[in-house]
Amino acid sequence: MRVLSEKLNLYASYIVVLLIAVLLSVTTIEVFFRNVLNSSIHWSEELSRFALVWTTFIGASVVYKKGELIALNAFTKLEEKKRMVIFYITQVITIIFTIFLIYYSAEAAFSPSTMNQITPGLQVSMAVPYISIPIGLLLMLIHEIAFLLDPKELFDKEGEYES
Amino acid sequence: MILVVTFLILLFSGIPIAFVLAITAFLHLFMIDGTGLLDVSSQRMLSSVNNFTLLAIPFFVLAGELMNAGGITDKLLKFSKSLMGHYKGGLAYVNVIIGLLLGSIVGSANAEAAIRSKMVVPEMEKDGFDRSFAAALTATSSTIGPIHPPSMTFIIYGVVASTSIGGLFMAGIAPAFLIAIVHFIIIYFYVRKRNFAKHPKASVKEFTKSFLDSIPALLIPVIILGGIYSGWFTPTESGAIACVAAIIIGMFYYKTLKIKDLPSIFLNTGIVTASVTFIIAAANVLGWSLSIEQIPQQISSFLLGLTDNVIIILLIINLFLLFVGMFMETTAAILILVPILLPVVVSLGVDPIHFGIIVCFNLTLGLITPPVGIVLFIVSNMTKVKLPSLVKASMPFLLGLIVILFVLTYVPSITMWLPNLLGYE
Repeated sequence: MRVLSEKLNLYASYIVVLLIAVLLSVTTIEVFFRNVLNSSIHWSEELSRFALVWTTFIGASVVYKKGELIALNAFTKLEEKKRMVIFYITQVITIIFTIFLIYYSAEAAFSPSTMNQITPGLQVSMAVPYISIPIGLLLMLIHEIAFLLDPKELFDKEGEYES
Repeated sequence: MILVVTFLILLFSGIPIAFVLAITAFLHLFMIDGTGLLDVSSQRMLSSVNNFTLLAIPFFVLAGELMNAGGITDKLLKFSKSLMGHYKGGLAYVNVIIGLLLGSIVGSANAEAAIRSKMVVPEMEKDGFDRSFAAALTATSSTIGPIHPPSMTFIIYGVVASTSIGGLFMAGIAPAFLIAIVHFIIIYFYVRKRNFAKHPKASVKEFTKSFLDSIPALLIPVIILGGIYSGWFTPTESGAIACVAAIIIGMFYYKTLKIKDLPSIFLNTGIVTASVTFIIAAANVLGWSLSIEQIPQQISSFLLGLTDNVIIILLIINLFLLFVGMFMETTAAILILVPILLPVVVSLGVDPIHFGIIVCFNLTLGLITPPVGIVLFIVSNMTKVKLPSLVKASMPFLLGLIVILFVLTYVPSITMWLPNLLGYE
C-alpha cells in the first residue's frame, strides 16, 4: 500500500507541476493577446480556472501525503499509547468520510446533467473539472489507508511543530 | 448544538481543518434533509474554486518563490543594511525593512517568516541580539506579508465579500507601514539599553550599488500595483506578469535561477496553493449549509438586536475575531464569518474595503498568537527558540499590533485615503 501511495504521489506531483506551468503560460499569453494584439482568446480564462480546480484537488492529495494539511492537535502532549488510539479513531473517521465524499462527488461528475453540459469556452463536458474531485480524493484515500497501516511516517511529521 | 460540539471535537483532534469543515457540513446537510442535499455539495466545492480571481493565489505564491530562488532576498538584505545597518542595533531595523520589501513581493506571513528566520535571525544573533528577541521580532513583523499588497488574505476576502481586490490592495499599504513603524519604536527602546556590534556607515557608492542591485526586485510591486491601477491587467493577470518578470530577472539579470529549478518551484507553488484552496472548497460547503438554515441572518439580527452602535459592534467583532483567530485558520475563518458579519457592518455604514482591512489584520494576528499560531510554529521550528520564550519575547510587539488594530478600526481614513484618492469605491 505504501509503495502504491508513494508511486501515485510522484505522478500527482508531476501533474501539479504541469498544471502550474499551464496556468502561468495561458494567463500570460492571454494578457499578451489582449493588450498587444487586441484580440482575446475566448477559452483561456476557462482553461486556467479548470487548471486551478485540478491543482486544488490533486494538489491537496500531495499536501496530505506530506502531512502538511493544516490541522490542530490538542493531544500532542499525551503519552504515545493514548495518542495512537486517538490517531486510529480520527484516521478511520477521515477514511469513512473520504469514501462518502468520493461516492457523492463521482455521482455528481457522472450524472447526465453534468456530462451533457458543454462549457462555453473549451467546448468540453462539464465533467472535466468535476472529475478532479473524486480523483483527488481517491488519491487521498490511498494515502490515508497507507498511513493507517503504517502510521510511523505521518506520526513523526505531526510532532514537528511541538514546542 | 450537536453540530458545534462535533465541530470543536473534530477541530482539536488532529484531523485536517478542511476535513473538519466538510464533515461538519455533511452532517449538517444530512440533518436538514437526509441524503438529498449531499449531491449538491461537490457542486459547491467546485464552484468555490472555479474562480478566476482566486488564480491570483498561485501567481503571487509563485512570484515570491521565484524571487527567492533567484537570490533576491540576498540583494534586499544588502540594500536594507546599507540603509539602516549603521544605527545602534541596526540589524533589528534591517529585519523589519526586509519585511516591508518582501511584503511587496510575497503575499503571506508564512513565506516572510520562513525566509527571514533563515537569513536574518542568525546574523542578528552574531551582532549580539538575544535569539528569542530576534525570532519574536521576525514572527510579529511577518504580519506585514498579508497586509502589504499583494496579499493572499485580501484576495480571499475580496472574493468572499465581492469587493474590489485593487481597492483592498491600496488600502493595505498604509497599515503595512504602520506595522513597520510600531516595530521601529519598540526596537528603539529595546536597543537603547543594550550593546551590539557596530557597523560602519555604508558609503554612497556601496549604497548606490546595493540599491541598483535590488531595483529589479522592487519592480515587481510596481508591475503589480501599476498594472492593476492602470487597468491594464486584472489582479490575477498582474500576478502572472510578475511571475514572468521574476523568471526573466532571475535567469538573465541575476543569473541565479536555472531552468532545472523550475519544476520544484512549480510543485511548491501548487502545494501552497492547494492547501489554501482546498480549505476554501471545504469551507464553502459549510458556509452554504449554514445559509440554507438562514443561520447568518439569525446571527446578524441577534448582533443588531444587542446594539446598533457601530463602535460597540466593531468592538464586539474585533474581540470575537481575535478569539477565533487564536484557534482557526485564516482562510476558513474568512470564508465562514465574513458572509455573516459583513451585512451587519455594511448596514451600519462601514465600507466593505475598510472592514476587509479590519478582518484581515485581526485574523493575521491569529498567526502569531498561541495556542495555534502557524507563524510562531514556523519561526520556532527554524530558529530553535522554544515556543514559550518566543511568545514571551513577542508580547510587546503583539500589544503594539493590537493597538494598531483598534486605531485602524476607529480611524477609517488611514486605510481609506489611498483607495479614495485613486477612485476605488
